[in-house]
Amino acid sequence: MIELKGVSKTYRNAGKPAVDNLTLQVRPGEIYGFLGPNGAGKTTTIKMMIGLLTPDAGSVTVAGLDLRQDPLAVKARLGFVPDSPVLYQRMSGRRFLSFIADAFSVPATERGGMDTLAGEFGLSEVLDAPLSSYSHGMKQKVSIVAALLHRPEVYILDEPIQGLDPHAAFVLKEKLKKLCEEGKTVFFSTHIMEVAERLCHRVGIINHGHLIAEGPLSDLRIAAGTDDSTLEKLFLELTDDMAATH
Amino acid sequence: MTWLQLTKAQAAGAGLVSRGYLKELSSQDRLWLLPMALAGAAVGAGSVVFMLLGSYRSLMTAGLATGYPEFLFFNALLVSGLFIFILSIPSALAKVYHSRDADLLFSLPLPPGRIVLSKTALLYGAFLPLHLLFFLPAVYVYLEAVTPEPSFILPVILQSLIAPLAPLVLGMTGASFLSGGSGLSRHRVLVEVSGMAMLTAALVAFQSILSRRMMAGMQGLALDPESLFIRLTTASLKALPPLAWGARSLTGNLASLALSAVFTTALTVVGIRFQSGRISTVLIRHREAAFKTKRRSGGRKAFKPRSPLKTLFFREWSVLSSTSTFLFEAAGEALILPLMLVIFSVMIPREILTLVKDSLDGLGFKGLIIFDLLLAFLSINTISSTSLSREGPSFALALTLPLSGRQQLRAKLLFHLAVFLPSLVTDIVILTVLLNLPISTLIYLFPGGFAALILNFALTISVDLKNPMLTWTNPQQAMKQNLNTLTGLGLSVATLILTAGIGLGFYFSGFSETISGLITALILFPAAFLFLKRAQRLADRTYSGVIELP
Repeated sequence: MIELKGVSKTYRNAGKPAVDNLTLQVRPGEIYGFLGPNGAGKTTTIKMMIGLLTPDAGSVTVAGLDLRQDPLAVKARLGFVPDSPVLYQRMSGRRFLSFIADAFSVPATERGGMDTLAGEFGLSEVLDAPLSSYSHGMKQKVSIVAALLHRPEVYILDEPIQGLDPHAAFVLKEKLKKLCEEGKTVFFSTHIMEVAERLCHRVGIINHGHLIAEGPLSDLRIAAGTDDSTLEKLFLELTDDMAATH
Repeated sequence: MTWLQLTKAQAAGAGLVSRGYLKELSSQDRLWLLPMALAGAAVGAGSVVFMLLGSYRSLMTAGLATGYPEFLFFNALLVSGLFIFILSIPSALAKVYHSRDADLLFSLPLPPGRIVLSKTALLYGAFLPLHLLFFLPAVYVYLEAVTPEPSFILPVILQSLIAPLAPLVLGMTGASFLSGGSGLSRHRVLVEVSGMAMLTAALVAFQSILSRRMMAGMQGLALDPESLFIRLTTASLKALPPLAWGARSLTGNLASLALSAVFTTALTVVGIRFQSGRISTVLIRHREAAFKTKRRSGGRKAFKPRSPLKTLFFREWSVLSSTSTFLFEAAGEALILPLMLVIFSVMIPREILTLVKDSLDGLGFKGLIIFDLLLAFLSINTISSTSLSREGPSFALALTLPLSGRQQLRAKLLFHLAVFLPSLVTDIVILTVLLNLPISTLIYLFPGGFAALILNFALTISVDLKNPMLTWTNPQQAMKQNLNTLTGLGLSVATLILTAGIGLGFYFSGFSETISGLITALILFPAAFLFLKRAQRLADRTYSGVIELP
């Protein structure tokens, strides 16, 4: 599971905090959708959850381990997909995935999953070509396979659907559902409301660094006083209200 | 959109000193770098001009003596043309055929000819100062010796402006052939490294000729009309008519002026038209080649598992070999002593080299001097002080791995040793053989050199661990234009002075040369250990996410 308690972060040379006193919890077996307009603090939150940024205040716990106390044990239990793929361009796809498997000490007997996953995402044909020759979508697929490869307990995905073809998007969504059934924890940010609506058990909406709404979609509808509102409408209402108060 | 508007837009977007770049520098509080860089360039250009003037005076005298007054201009145009030709090949590969904006430009409703013309204009703008650097001193020297007609100004202006066009267009055409061959386009790094190697060789040859000619010029000596150099230049005058026309146009030959202008214009037009017809095909071939590589490559078996340390070690190689700039820099630094020896043997007369060797032999502490020299060659490197910076945006990936800063540092140290240990051994062997060093010096040269390698690594990587430069767009910014490089070199020089002081201090206190060297080497070990420990602490801190990633 993932737990953030009173997490805050202010960047140097920035007046306002990017994330302000954020508290949230994602339980095992749950898919949590993290929504918010551009610049709301989604990526900063995610960077603090995976150890790319140190929070100024508060604590981050992943799989029962404090990120500050035991960062390597936390990273070993995490699968992360960044919003834009970060890869070593000179490596081939296979070499890169082997590099990830080596870094996460995946035993040789369990590495067959690499080809299976690559096949599922339509990468088999291109796996031995240098990553520099891949399209954005193919790089995103490699990033996703790299996150799934070591079968972690917790998955954190930043805009994972972005750039994927419909087939790969479908495969990913099915994978996430399956992982959730296996009791894994999935946290992902997205701008695609339809995906969040269909896939997530709970959603959290962040704006100006604050969590302005959180819960299952049905609860959010009740809170908003509408029965038939879509997540998109709710999102627009909530973020517009917030913008007006700012 | 006209070709001029297109050129202006590209210069504003990707030019070296565009408004956007200045704003970026300012936001990073690095605007002060610009005057420093300009001052450095001015000093460099000034020293080249100084040497050129000496060399050109000697050529002018030789030209007048042999009945070829155009001799000086021919040489100036030849050297300028050669440099522009060699440099324009990698530049055209980078800015035209492998340019990041190629897809954008070709998606616009513009004919390919206009795009090629704008790219040619951009490269012309970049190479014009280089041409003027070689050409204008020749005009100055000519005016010292001859009083020309007022109309002399016309060919001077014309040759100042049109002379770079022919070598530039030829270089760009060469690049289009290199890039068009599917095999070569896949080995772009190799092509670029070869270009840089050719340029270095040309620079060494040029520097060697310059220094020798400059000495002759300063001593008021004319070149021997029967010398090989004069005979070769006289033959080249006949073999390269376009250059001869350009040179003669400056000595009052109006027919040559017309021929030179017509030839240059015709060649430029033909070259641009040829490339305009070819560029779309070449770019399509690139895309197809990438597609073929992807399609062809299926079916390989998985790699054998590696330990995290081993896999990080090979990651270092993957990053270093990702651009020709990194590779060339690393190769130059690892091979600096052999390269310097080659350059010295070409540039400096044998008698002077023998004199230096004899002076060294006369000292009682030759071994200690060589020890310091060895450490200097091993310290002049930018590999560790830019180790994290070179990773650029992919540094974020390293932070997500369940591997500690210490493990990352260990892999970087191993890689540093893999690059520089062979250099240490080679350098010691070369110095021992060339300078007849006694075997006893090896007792401190090997261990001392090894400890110095680790100390240098620990000191300089600490600079990058504190503040890596991860937001570069051009690989040069990650290495040569990285302030960490300068700080790292400063630390290396300080360590070197301290080491030399310790060794010589012991020697002049009455210890033998060998014991003094040995004590220095032994002191280097704990120093290396302490600074490595410090670097480990810094690495743990850096890899725990304290850096605000872009």
